[in-house]
Amino acid sequence: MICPACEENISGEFAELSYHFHREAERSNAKHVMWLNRNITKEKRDKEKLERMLREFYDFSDSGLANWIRKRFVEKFFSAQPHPFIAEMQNPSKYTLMGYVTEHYHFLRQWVKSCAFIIAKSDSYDVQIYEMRNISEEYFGQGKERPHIDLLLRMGESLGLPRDRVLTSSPLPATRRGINFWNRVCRDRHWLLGMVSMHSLELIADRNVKKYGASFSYFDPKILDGDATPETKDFLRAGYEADVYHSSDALNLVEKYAEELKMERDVQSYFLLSEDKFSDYLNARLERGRLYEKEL
Amino acid sequence: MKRNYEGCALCDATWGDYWRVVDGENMFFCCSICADAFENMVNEVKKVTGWDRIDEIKIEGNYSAGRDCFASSGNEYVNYFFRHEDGRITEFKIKEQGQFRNQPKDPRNR
Repeated sequence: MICPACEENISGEFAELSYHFHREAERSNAKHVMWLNRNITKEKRDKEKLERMLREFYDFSDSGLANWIRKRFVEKFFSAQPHPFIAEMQNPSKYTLMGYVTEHYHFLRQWVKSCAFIIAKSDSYDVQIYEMRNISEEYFGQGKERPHIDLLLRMGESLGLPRDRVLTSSPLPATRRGINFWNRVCRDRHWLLGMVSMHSLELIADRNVKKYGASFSYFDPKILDGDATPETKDFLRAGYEADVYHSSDALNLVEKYAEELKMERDVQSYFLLSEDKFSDYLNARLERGRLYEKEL
Repeated sequence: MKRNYEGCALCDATWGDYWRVVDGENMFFCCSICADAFENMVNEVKKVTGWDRIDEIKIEGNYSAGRDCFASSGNEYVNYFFRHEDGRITEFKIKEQGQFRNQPKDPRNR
């Protein structure tokens, strides 16, 4: 089993994982302590109790693996106290959207590389088709619709952020760490772990999150009828419409192959590792927005 | 320094066993990142207020949402918000600053 905090391959299951967390917590290892604080409990527990809590946390017998991923994602990003980026997106400032453009540009450049790694490593036709469609939408667009990356850059331009400035920027540290993680997982690990690490993140723009207990959606849909720039509406609308089937199709594929390949536990751990990187990356969008606000 | 947490001075967790002297007092933290964040936050409060010591800090919130805090020194107080990333302060906003008359103006006491 993979440790969801440090990626170490633990031989065994929850008893061994509990022992591993206990040992690392005694050393005050920040990764492990923070993971326990944020996902299980802030109160120190003995190994047996922690083993039970970890087992319960990973249990997806109620509704299946794909729904377990949806539920955990909603808890982390769309709870009554949502992720700060989600809170900001209910009524985003121009600077937040500019920060979104710059950091997301770097994310998208990695995204297509990750999809390409998955295509290269998988022999499954449905997975390859899914990833090729995904790359195509990002870089070439679909039908009359512009490529997602172009919609993003046009949104930036409409807000006063020149395209060249985005293209020549360097990602902020949290974005860089995320990109490095997703690149490494997709390049070096099983394609299914790459797939869950990347495509579970598309739940962020899934309109159906409210079905899974979300208190918020990615943005307030009133923005689409409000006084945002037409390019902002075009970009948000495209993501809003695309990511519903993106995340749903991908999670169905993940669930199918995780069961077939008996990789459910590792899929769960990589989803958890990835959503932590994603949370930090969303904070980088806000941080970049604050930098623009000071500067422009 | 009076605090509202019995566990880690920043997040109240009881995991870990990390100790650091902050403002002349040996404090318990769950990990070095919480210690960095707390120490940097204390330094930021002192820089902004000009205080040379802090009598009390109360913290509410978490890593993701950020933290609303109250601090006092002598008859002065400050309400502020901060957020950190890996112990580095990424956002720090003073919400209210003033002097006590009768009761501390910690909003949680109202």
